[in-house]
Formats: sequence, C-alpha cells, structure tokens
Amino acid sequence: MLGAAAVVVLYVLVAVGEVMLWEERTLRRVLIYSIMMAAVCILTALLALGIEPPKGIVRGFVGSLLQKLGMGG
Amino acid sequence: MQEVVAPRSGMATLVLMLMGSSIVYGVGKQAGADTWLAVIAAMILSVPFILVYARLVDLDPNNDIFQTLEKALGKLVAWTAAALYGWYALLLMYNSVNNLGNFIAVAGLVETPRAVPRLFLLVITLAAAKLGVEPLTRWSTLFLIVVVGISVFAFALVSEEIDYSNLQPILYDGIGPVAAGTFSTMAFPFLEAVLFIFIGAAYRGQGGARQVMLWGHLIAGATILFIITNTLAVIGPDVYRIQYYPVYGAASRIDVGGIFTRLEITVTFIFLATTFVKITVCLIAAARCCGYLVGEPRYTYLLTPLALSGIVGTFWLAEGTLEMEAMALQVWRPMQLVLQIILPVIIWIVAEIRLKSPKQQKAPQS
Repeated sequence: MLGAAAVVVLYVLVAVGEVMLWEERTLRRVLIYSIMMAAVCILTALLALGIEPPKGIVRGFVGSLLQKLGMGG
Repeated sequence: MQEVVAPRSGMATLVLMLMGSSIVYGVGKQAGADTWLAVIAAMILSVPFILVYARLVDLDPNNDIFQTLEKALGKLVAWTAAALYGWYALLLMYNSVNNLGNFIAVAGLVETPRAVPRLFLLVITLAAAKLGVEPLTRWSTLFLIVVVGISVFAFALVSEEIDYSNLQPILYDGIGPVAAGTFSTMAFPFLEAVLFIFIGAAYRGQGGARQVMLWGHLIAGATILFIITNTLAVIGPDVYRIQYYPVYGAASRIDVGGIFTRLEITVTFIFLATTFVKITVCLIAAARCCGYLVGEPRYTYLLTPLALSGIVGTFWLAEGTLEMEAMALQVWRPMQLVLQIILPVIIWIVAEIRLKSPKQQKAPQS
C-alpha cells in the first residue's frame, strides 16, 4: 500500500514538474499528457499492489487466435 | 517535424540498434554449426525489405512518413499504420528492457530488485530521446567505434580458444535448420529496422535513406556475423544452442596468463550501449506514432508517459527468461511477419501506384 502511494505521489510530482517546464502549454497538450500519465500511474500503482492483469488468458487467446489463422508458432 | 542527420550518423545508429540484444542472445540458434550460413543468408534476403523501408522514407523526403502515408493511402490507413507500428515499437521497447533486466539479474546483480535496472535504463533512454534523434545519432557514431573496438579486442584475447572446426561439417543436418535460422535471424534483428522509418530522420546528401539503411544493414550484418561466428567457434554449436547468453559465455573464457580474466564485462558494456540505442529508437518511434494518433506534432511531450509505461510493460510482458523464449515463439513470430514483411510491402506497392497517379501529382499544385 505504501509503495502504491509512493508511486502515485512520485508520478504526480513528475507530471506537474514536467508540465511546468514546458515552453508551450496548450489545454489539449496538457490534457493528452495528463491522461497518459494517469493511465501509466494507475497501472504502476496496481503493479506495486501486486495486482497483475490475467496475461496468461490474453496470451492464450492471442496464441490460439494466431494458430487458428495458421500463423502460430 | 523532421530532424536532419548525417548519413554516417544514421548508419551508426542503425548498426547499434540492430546489434542490440542480438549479439548477446545469439541469433539463428536453430541452424547449430551452420549459424554463420544462416546469418549470411538472412543478411542477403533482408536486403529487398530494407530497400522497401528506405523507399518508404524516400518517397517524399520533404515530409515525414505519416504525411507520406496520408497523402498516398488516406488518413485511415495512415492512422492504422501508426497504431500498429506504435504498438510494435512499444512492445519491442518493453522486450529489450526486459532482456537487459533479465541479463543483469542472471549475469551479476541477482539480489537487486527487478525494477531498479529497468528504471535506470528507461530514465537514461528518456533523457536521450528528449534530446532528439540528432544527438542520438552523433552519440552512436562515437560509440560504434568503441563497440567495434571492444569486439575486436575481445576477439584478440579469445583467439587462442577459437576452433573453427566447430563450424564443420557444413550443412550436416540439411538445409531445414539453416532455413529456420535464416528466417528467425531476418525477423530478429535485421528486419527490426522497420522502426527506423518512423523516427522521422531526414538524411543529408544524395543517397537519402537508401544509402543509410542499406549500408547500416550491411555493416550491422557483418559485425553480427563476426561476433556470432567467433562465438560459435569458441563454445561450439551444442553449447551455443542451449545457452541463453552464448556471447557472454564465450567472453568468459578469456584468460590471458591469469591476468586478463573475467572480461565478459566487455560483453555487458556492448549489450548496454547497443540496447540503449535500440530502446531509444523504439521510444522515439512509439512517441511519434502516438503523437500522430492524438494529433500532437511535437513527440517529445509524449515521451515521459511512454517511457514510464516501460516499468509496467516489462513486468507484464514476461516473468523471466524462459517465459520470454515461449513468448518469442508464440506471439512475436507472426507479429513480426505481418509488421516487418507483409504490411510494409503492401504499403509500398500501393503508395508507389497512388503517388505516381496523375491525380496525386496534381494535388500539391492546386
């Protein structure tokens, strides 16, 4: 929990600091950047909490899909 | 926005990018003692595709690839290509960071938390990518000399261990394993040069991207051939096939009079330098594709979130070296076939036809 909180604080600091350093700050640019940073921050915080996506299911799905298409290894 | 770079610098960057990971992991292991043949065949068979990539850049040297694609194929296709190659660049970046992280864990820093080397590497590449393509290419020009120099130095020290009879008999298992090794070597590393299209570099001089990519490819191929053949000659085909880091294994045999030992550090340095270039190129390509998708002309603004996504991406991609191998077989091969061969060739053919049609030629004048 502490790790996840630290990740969030760090990401917010990095994001705010970087935006403040920009020469041109348009709303659109800041919005895109914020959305991307928020997404990465949430995923990293989840990782710090030990929550990982069911990648086995995803990879199994992709693998069998490719095999069905005759491209699988 | 295109950054103009000297052809020599562009070549050096491509050489280091193609050497990234491949020289430590080894290539074409399926071919066993004939790996050197597989590397030569892959180098030759990759040339037409490298020329296709170069042609895509040279179709309209005044515009970047996305504008060219948009003009030739329409916005939807350009958008789809940006999405696919952006995703591929990100995956390749995660994969390379993961490779390096696993290598560091296996080679020395066993107790170090997995996130630490990855984070350091990502921060360094982020800093390099923020400076732009031009400083990266100049850095590569300098470090290519260092990397080649170290390779030759290591070769000189390991020369007494070299036994070229390890390369014989030639084609003992037939052509099948050589063909398998050739195709795998084409996909990794030679045709990874497809991402070079998306870094948005324009080249000074007459030759354009063709000169840079072709010569870069040939120099990288020659260097990889030199390193892999000598590794094979030192450790033999059986060990080469089963070791995860065969070049590291070969360099660890260096022992000159008990004074010069443990020189596998040279391999670690080469791995770091080349992987750094590869990851930076992938990051820039991903940011440019992503920038096109969201309508942001300055890709540097998107670099930080994309680089930081690498921390999560590398953990979610694969847990360890074994899982990386499994993933390479299951997912990477088909994806590489589509993104390195099928899609660029289709785009090139359609773009050539469309850009040469009278309607398209009139368009800029009106």
